[in-house]
Amino acid sequence: MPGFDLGTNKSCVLAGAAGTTDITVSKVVPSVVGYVKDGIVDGIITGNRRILFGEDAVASMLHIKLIAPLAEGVIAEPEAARDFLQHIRSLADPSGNAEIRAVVGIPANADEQARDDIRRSVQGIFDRILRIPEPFLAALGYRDDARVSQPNYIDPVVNSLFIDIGGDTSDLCLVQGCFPTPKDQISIPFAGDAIDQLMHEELNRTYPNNGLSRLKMREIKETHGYVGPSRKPLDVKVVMGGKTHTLELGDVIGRASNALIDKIYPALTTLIQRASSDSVVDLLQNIIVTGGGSQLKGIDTLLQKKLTDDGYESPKVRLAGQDYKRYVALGALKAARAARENQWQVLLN
Amino acid sequence: MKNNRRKRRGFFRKNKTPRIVRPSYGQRDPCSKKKSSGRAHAQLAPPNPLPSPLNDSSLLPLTFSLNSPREPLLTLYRRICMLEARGEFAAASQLADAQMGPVVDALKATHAITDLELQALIANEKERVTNASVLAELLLPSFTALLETARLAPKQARDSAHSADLAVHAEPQRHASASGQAPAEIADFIDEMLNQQRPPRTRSARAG
Repeated sequence: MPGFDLGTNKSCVLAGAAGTTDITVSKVVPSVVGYVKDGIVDGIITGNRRILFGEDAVASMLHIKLIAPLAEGVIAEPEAARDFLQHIRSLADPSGNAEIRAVVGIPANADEQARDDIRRSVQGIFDRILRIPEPFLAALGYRDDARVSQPNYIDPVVNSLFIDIGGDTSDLCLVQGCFPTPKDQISIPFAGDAIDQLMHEELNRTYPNNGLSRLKMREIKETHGYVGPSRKPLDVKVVMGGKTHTLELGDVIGRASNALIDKIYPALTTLIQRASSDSVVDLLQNIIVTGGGSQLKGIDTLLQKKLTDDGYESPKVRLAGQDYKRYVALGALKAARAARENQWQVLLN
Repeated sequence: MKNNRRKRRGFFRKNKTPRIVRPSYGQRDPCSKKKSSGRAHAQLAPPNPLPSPLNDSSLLPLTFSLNSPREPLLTLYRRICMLEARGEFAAASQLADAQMGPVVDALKATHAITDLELQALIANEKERVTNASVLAELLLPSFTALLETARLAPKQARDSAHSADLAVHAEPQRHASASGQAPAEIADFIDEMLNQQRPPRTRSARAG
């Protein structure tokens, strides 16, 4: 029984037998499919496979056509998506014989079309599915079940505000003891990929003809990304034209990353205003940043400082931590194990 | 205020077993030369003070320390009052008959307390219990409303999807609580999600 987070850039699958708390499969897979180009000599690709996935695809990108099956968290390339999902199923069930029920995390703003695309993509691959918005699954995955009954533990499912900064979208969600309604969620189409784009554009202005790809920008962002006051000098070694150069990228990175804060912060305060007055003080102590964007250095401190400066009562912004990649999938797995029989959607071939 | 029409009896029967005197407001203290208000005012006092013979029942130095020797008597009296407030007169009478005597005897033996002092103690405690009962009655509607809201909150969250108002999602009840609350059922959350996703016509048909 798998739970998985279908991300634009990275997907995570956790699986374990029904009726247990064991996790037998735990994998983070880049959301890419590679179709081997015609004419590639035998032996170049391991096992002479025709389709590669995840890290294998990225490693062989010279010899394959690389396709991202998802964009903005939803299906963009249906055929590639089916191949990718089949691969995910094989991770959860190598034998291919078990009945597989999967909970799939979907973006908070996924419309009916997007949801239907996911259903069609998994038809014939999974036997039953549940599609649940990712921010709620993140809260469920982040919840420490062992501490739920402790008196001082604030259950994130009972009262929290999650900020999930992914590749394509940044999703904010109020989770307050009931399933979030559309009013409790804000999805902003500005996230990691947009930062990469801004960095790329600014780098091209500062260092024309640098030849660096968006993928390289992402690597630089993941290594050096920060928000807040400018951190200079921030020297980054890159290879351009076969030669190593050291570029000072403090302002390039800072301006691009801070643009994210300019988008997120108004949405954050909007959701805080929507919380009931009885719950808001506790809520302010339970703001959690997750997703890849949680790795931006200083993001928790900056958001907390902005809230404090604006007069909010003792806000506390925390990072989800190094396990941020797993929380949505973990929440999906918990949901899969807890779902009642009549809640599953049966997929007819 | 409960109108106590029971026949007043002396505090002590012939066999010295104490009974409960319930002075109503305005009752004249037989030992007082002037009409008393029937109200006993408690003041903080040094440990183990013995009240002087009463001239005015409105002044009654008492201690309310948990370690006070009078505490067993007062606790017993409160229990009797609570039983009577719940209509359990038989149980109250049984408790008084069984335990009041020994408690009073023990108090008299160890602290040489007089009957008048005992009467004052009981009168004061009676007023405290009465005031607490009044306050509870005043707050009862608010507590009831809060408990009802909490009890109905999961059902209301589900029923909000069945509302005949197709244009507006009903505001779901929030269970926000700082700590110690029982873990919310994941399956219930999924139910709420599925209800939100159902078309309005399906929801209203289910409501009908």
